[in-house]
Amino acid sequence: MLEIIYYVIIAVMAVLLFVNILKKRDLPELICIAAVLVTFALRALHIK
Amino acid sequence: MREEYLVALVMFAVLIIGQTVTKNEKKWAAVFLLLASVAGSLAAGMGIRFREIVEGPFGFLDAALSVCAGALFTGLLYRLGFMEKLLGHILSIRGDFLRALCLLLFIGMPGMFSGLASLSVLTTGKLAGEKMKAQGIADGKIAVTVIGGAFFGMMLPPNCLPAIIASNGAGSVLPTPYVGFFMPLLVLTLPCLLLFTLLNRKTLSLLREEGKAEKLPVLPLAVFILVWVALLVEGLLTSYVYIGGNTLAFFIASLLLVFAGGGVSAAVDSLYDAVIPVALLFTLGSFIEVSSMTGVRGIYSLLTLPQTTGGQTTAVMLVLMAISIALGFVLSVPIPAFLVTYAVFPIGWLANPVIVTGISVAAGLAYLAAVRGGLFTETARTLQLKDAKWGESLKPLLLPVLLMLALAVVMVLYGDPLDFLIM
Repeated sequence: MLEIIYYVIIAVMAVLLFVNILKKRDLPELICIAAVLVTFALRALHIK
Repeated sequence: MREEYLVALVMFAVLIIGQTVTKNEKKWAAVFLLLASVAGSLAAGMGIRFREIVEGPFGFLDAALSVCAGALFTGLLYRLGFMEKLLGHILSIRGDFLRALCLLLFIGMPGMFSGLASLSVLTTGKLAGEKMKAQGIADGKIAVTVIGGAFFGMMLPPNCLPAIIASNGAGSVLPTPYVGFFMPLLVLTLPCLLLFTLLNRKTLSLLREEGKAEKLPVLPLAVFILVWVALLVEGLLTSYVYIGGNTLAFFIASLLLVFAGGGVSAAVDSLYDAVIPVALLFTLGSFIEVSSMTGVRGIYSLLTLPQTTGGQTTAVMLVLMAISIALGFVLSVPIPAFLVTYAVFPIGWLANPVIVTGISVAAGLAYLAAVRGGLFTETARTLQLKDAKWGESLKPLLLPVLLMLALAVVMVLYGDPLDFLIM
């Protein structure tokens, strides 16, 4: 059960980050969001 | 010259040049940590090692999840107007010392929840700072109040970014990346916070409001109280009670706040407040991973391991702590954060959260002491404090910080006998 919740939380965070990346940001901010998003997305998708 | 020295030189050179050119700007620090990782793997003749660069952040992922959930919860409370109303209640407290202490804890609260001092500055610090400005309080005094609250908030449990960074140095040795730090952090920070309040009571109690404060909304208040109860119960009784951890408590509370009127848009903005520090954490993970892959860590172990007999490991840790703080003045956080994780490496299997907490103080102080790109810059920029000076703003923190440093050294020296603090 806790494992499912863990992945749900990560997936929600990844979606919120994805919405953030769609907003107008400057280059370093985009790189920062991407760095966090990639890590969250890889875990949410069970790739890593 | 051994190849590993050259690799380390290239990695640090990229980072130092980046920090200097961008004046320690935090959002660029993450970019240059990433570039330094790429440069390190190229210098080692290994090409661009995506695997290590992507794998590094995973050492920090679970702790970062708690940081993000804490930031989400705090941001939603702030955007719902709960924090502003809570401040009204705090400012109507009559006793000067109690009001000053509560104001510091209020400013520090986002830092406690998320481990990020910058979040305190952006939310509660901004609210308090604007009120102080409206009452005509001098910029320097506003800076002292906000910087003090934000710094001690960051160092207080449950979440503390410097401790999260340092705990990475123990790798998989600690039970999970970040567990058992509640009491060590509390014992470390609370006396310093009380001393700071006592010494600066006059400045900190300048802000007050007469009249009746606005009523707090019921649902956010109930959620707020429940989260505090959950955090305290789990933090103080870690070995006996498990209710899902900080992350779950913050996440459920955030969901309730979204449905209580916060909205998804507020959640998106709240998470953004934590993105840059978390990116810095993740790219630091890549930097550490590449340093391990290219043999820099191996050379470091080779140099320090002969010293691990006769209790000289402690000397290595203390020297790295001192270097971290000294570098923090000039280069802000990235290199000190890296050195703090390396300070934990030599004790490896022997690491316990008390020792790690002591070492983490160096990373916290590096952020506090930074002349550019540290807590002062962040506060002065966010609150537009044009007349605040770095030295004047940090001077009132000197004695409490020296006390914190002394406690940190005691924790490093006597971490094993003090392990009863790990509840």
